[in-house]
Amino acid sequence: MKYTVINRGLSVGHINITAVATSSVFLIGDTESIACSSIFDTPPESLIISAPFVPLSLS
Amino acid sequence: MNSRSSLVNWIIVTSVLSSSVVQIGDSNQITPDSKTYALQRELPIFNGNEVEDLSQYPIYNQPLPLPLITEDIEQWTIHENPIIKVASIRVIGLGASSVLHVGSTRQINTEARVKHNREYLSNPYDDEE
Repeated sequence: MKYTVINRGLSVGHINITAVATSSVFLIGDTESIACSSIFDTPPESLIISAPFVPLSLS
Repeated sequence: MNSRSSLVNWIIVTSVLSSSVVQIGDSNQITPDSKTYALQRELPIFNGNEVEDLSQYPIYNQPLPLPLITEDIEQWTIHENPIIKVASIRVIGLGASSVLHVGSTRQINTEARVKHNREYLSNPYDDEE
């Protein structure tokens, strides 16, 4: 694939961002490549129901 | 590579989290990488030795697939106006492995691995059908 990009004027006022989330990019400028990977794990076995994990009283 | 210049009057960033980057100026390569183990307990009592070794969980070792570019790409860029103007930026938070970049770069590779756990004293779903 061959193509030509012509960058004409780019002028922005105010940018208001609440959050740039995990593994994401906010870029003002040029780049050649961006690769954002993220894995998030909450399997059923991550819900642990157990006896008290620490002694509730040390005495 | 001829890149444009970025002109920003002011930036306010309130919070920057683990392994995230605020870069002002050009760069070549940015590769933030973070591993998070989140443990949520019914009673917030922690000893500090809950996880000794992250490598016991496959989420922190398994290879992540990257996009495969099979096509030959030839891009020509003409910067008719070589300046990107932004008046102002306000960011409240940058999460794990995220990037705020003012200026040009060549390559950005971010990676975040998050494992969440919840620990209860008794089954929280007992009263449900």
